[in-house]
Amino acid sequence: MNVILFMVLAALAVVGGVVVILHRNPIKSALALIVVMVTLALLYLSLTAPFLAIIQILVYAGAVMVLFLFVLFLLNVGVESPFSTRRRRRVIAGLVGALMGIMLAGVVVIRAGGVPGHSAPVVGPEFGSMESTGTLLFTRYLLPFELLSILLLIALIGAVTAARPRWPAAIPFGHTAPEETPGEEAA
Amino acid sequence: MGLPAYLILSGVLFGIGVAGVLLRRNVVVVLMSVELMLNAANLALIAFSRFLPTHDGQVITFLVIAVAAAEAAVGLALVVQIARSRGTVDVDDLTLLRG
Repeated sequence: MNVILFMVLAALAVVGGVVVILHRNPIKSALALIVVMVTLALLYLSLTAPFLAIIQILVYAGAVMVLFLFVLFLLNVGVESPFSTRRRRRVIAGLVGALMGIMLAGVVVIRAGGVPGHSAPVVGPEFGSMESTGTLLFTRYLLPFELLSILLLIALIGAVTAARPRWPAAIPFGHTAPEETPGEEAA
Repeated sequence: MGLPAYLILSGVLFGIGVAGVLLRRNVVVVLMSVELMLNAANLALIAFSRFLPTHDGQVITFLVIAVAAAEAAVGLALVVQIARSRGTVDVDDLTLLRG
């Protein structure tokens, strides 16, 4: 892959990530995160993963980020006033983040010795396609796939249950629901 | 570009995510930082998958994306409920479990 293109995409991803964690306005953070997601989708394309690039845009930039923005709008979250309270905390966060990133990248790069790192092996046109991903998903990864469907069902029910305002009292058969009393919510 | 470049980018993005979780007080932005960390892991998986080359990394990434979507849904539902009952999404104000 073109070195310049990779550098541009990598710089865009890193700048986007920094904006996500540093911008005071959560809406802007979410928009920066969408930039990171799209950039990563382009990087997936460069790694011969076109199917995952599409999934990344559809699921992350499409569904998950819309959910985040929706919640931000719903809660009417304002701009975070004085940026993260104490200076000590900023220093600690920066140090731990930098240390973790360096350590992770270093260890993974060093330990990836068995992988031919500098030139990507030649692969056939079926690599990364929807068909080969699906074949593997329904053969070797069938059990995780099925467990995933159960997990999604649990998450669906859990999210709906958790976001409900309040469980309504059981209404006896033949009666109508009682009127909501205003102000009870605040109590 | 070689494998190390992708892995370094992945590590940097993960570090940014960690810093965001520690730095930010808004719960929603903390969740966004977690998403950033998951994406960094996905990038490493796909990079390894390309350079080995084996298809498994891409399938695992597919599973990770689905789990992340579920996590975001449940997490945001909890955030909505917390905001409704406590009136704040600031993690510094949520001290109910503090001993």
